[in-house]
Amino acid sequence: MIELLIVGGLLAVIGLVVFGGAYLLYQRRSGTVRAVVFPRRAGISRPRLRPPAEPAEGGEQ
Amino acid sequence: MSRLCRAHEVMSLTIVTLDTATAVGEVRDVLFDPSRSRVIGFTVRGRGLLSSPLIGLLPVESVGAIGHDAVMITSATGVVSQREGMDAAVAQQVDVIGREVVSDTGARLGEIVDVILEVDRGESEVVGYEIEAEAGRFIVPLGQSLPLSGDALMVPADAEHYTANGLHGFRDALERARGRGGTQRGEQVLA
Amino acid sequence: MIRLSQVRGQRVMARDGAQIVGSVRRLLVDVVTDSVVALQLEGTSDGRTIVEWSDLAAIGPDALIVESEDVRRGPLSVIEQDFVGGKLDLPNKLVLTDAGDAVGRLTDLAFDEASGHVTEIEVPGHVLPLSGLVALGPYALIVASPD
Repeated sequence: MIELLIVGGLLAVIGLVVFGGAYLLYQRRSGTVRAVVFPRRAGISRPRLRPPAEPAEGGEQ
Repeated sequence: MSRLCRAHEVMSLTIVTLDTATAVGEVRDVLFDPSRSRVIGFTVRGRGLLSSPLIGLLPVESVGAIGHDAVMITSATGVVSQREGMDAAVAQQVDVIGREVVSDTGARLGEIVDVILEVDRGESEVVGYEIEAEAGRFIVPLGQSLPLSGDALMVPADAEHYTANGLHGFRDALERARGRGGTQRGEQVLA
Repeated sequence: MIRLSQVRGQRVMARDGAQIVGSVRRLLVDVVTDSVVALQLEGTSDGRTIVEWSDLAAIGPDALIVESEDVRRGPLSVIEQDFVGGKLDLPNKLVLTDAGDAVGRLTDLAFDEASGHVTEIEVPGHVLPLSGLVALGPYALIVASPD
């Protein structure tokens, strides 16, 4: 009788560790949708804020 | 050519290179610029439960197409490491999934459970938020001002709640919201 | 028109000596020309297992014929190394469009016997006329989406 209880307890602990571990790994990898703001100076993928320059004469850029 | 889908359909898609047909990782987070409601990139995790939770960053410029089963990128060099990428330059970020939603009359409406994207080849735009309320789920279209902060998303009390099951009819709701808000593209204010 | 399923396992015989040089293990498809360009033999004792499709003198119902066993060679490029290493195997390869949509897993492939040019790709329940191959790799065979 006592052996059954010990084996049952061990199985329960192993189950907890395996499934708990799998759950934690899953959570670690799960993603979200994130709004990200860059400061003005960074210049990464932000539109130009200055008005366009005067058009150049004679096609020179 | 554009289609509507939920952000969660894109998250966990396999990322495949168009030059060598190799899988380099999976989509983890969807990152967007709230001032233009445009997706600016994705974070990439490894494939498999025991793999790395973060391999790098995939800027939207390197994405060729976002499909139903994979995100196609021009080559593996499109995925950059965190340090080279945007993280250092970020001023502020708000994780949208799980964010509380409050009406501008002071009532708690629920929480954000998903984001609706309009996808055209490799580019995507955030066009709505899916909210889980006590009564069920509904989608609020962007196109009207929806201030967002680390504390909450604020939704006008008279905002249209789109509740149908599929996204097919959502395009009309989107047009109506844009008409009312007077903006072509939803401008998200990040407080 | 001939199919991958018909060719796989077929004997390859040399015309000069009438001996069997091996049997067809797998086919290599080139995405630039959209064609079958080579086959790999099994049953050979040396590492020279590749036979170029253009070196086939005849394709019959019971055997493929080469002039002599000297047409066999070893892998020369990285792609050919991957090929003989089994990374580019076509049966059951995921067929994915360049738009990111899965078509299915490849069950068969139809191509022109003489030129090797691929005309159809078969997946369960679906025969795809070929609009162009983009890439072949360990994860998938990427095809141009019919646009």
